[in-house]
Amino acid sequence: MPRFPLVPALVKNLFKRPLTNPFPAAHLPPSVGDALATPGAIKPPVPMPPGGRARVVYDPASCVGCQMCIKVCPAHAIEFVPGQKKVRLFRGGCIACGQCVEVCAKKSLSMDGQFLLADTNRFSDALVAK
Amino acid sequence: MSEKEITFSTTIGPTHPAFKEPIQLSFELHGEEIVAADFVPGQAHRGVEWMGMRRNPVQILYLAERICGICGVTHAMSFARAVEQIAGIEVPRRAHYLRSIACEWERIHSHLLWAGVAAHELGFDSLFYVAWQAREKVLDLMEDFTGSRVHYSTIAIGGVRRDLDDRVRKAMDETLAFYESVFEQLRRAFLEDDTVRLRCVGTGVLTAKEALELCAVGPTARASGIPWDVRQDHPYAAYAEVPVKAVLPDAYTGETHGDVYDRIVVRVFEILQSVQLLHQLLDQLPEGPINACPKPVALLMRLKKATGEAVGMHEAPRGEVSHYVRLAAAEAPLSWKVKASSYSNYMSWVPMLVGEQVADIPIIAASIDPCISCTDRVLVRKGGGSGGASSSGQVLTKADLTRLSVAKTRRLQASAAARAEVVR
Ligand code: SF4
Ligand code: SF4
Repeated sequence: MPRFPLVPALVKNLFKRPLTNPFPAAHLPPSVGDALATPGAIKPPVPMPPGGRARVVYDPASCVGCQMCIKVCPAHAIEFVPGQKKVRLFRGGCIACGQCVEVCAKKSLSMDGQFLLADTNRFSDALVAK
Repeated sequence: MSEKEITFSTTIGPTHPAFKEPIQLSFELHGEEIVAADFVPGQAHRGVEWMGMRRNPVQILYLAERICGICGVTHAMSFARAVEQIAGIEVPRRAHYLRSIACEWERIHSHLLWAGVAAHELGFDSLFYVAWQAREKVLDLMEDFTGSRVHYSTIAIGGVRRDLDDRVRKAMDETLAFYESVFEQLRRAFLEDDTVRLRCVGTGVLTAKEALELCAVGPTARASGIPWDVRQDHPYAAYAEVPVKAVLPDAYTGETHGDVYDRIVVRVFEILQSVQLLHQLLDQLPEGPINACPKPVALLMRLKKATGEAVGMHEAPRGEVSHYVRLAAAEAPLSWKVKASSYSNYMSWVPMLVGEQVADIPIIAASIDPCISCTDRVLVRKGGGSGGASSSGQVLTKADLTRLSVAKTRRLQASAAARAEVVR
């Protein structure tokens, strides 16, 4: 007598709702452009819990140009702008480790939980914080 | 030539749907049977160590973490342990416990991931979904605990970065209860199902002698009856206070065969062991500071002055990982060498595969839980290899190519001159 212990669970699963969040949509829309323009057509992703590490936000006004963030960044994603004594952060290279946020004594760097950052140009305004 | 002697050579990879990462396996086949097997790694080399030589240890830590896309603690842990030994940093007790807690959650998630992949390689996709559905809980928990689902970045040199608050502590208790409730279902689905047994019992055998000779580590070695576990043999983090005993298949099935089935047994029961360890770790969690060097500037200064060498070891879900670090009172380390667990396990593929059938290749290859991108460092093979598919087996530099090119020109010139001589 063959044994298939998973069968009862599989039968039960037939009547359950899918566990996966259908992000960005359950099915490919006929026109991606139309779907993007229609409000509500895009299902939101599962939100990050508090303290989740994602996009780094930079506030140049409070930055004093001490360069500590550059010293701890594993990805070499931050560069110094000598003329202005400020930094420039390339989000395309950032690995969201959060070390720069912790090290900044002036709290000029923070994380805002936004993680949908895809862009076709890695130097676009959305991907360079300055 | 008798029919017995006619063999076919074939290769799988470097990129192939049966493998999640690039590696090339080459085979000599007699019909469906594998007569000889070999492999050529080195297709996923990323130069991580080279990058490390240009960074300070604080930067390397999270670079090291990204060597692996599954184990988010493993490499950071080994690297931090090596650097702490060199700089003489004493990690606080609570940090040791929090590190062990992260390690055990990671083991649960990694073994469930592997179990799903193994089921998929067997063509048993419903089991794959069941395993990965269970795995989702630990990913969510780790995201809550550390801020990220996979690359936790929670280990710091000198301790850990985030403390365990009441909210996450409660989530941990709930998740442990969840795993206790689904363990029996998972155990029965993986160990009692006839589909799994048919394909895995007696397949891909690695004897204890072969495992010892080929230096296998982790669940691959333990499934062959070798009772090795870094947590047991060289206790680190909190494992001295919460002892670990290597999980061997004979404790559950009564005997050791060293086949794919035994490797499933070891991993399934290691999930249970991790759940039990987590209960103990959480119950005994001491109060106190979580980082010996919370000030980054002071830490960077201290590491810049440190001199010496050390090896940091850690029992990753796949076996022992070691990082060799040498600091010489400079910004960047003088040397950094990473040995991932799969590096020690690759060689056991050869005895496992010989004598098996082509259809068993995916599950046998997956049974050591290879992490190919972790393993690929620099590949230099001297004098050409015997491996079927590797062309010359050598890495040629630009200078080598120039030399070869010049030699060829000379050869052609000489033969052209010789031809001219004959004509004349
Ligand atoms: S650490 Fe803070 S203050 Fe210093 S350069 Fe970076 S952003 Fe500016
Ligand atoms: S989060 Fe990490 S990788 Fe990203 S900019 Fe800051 S230090 Fe660099």
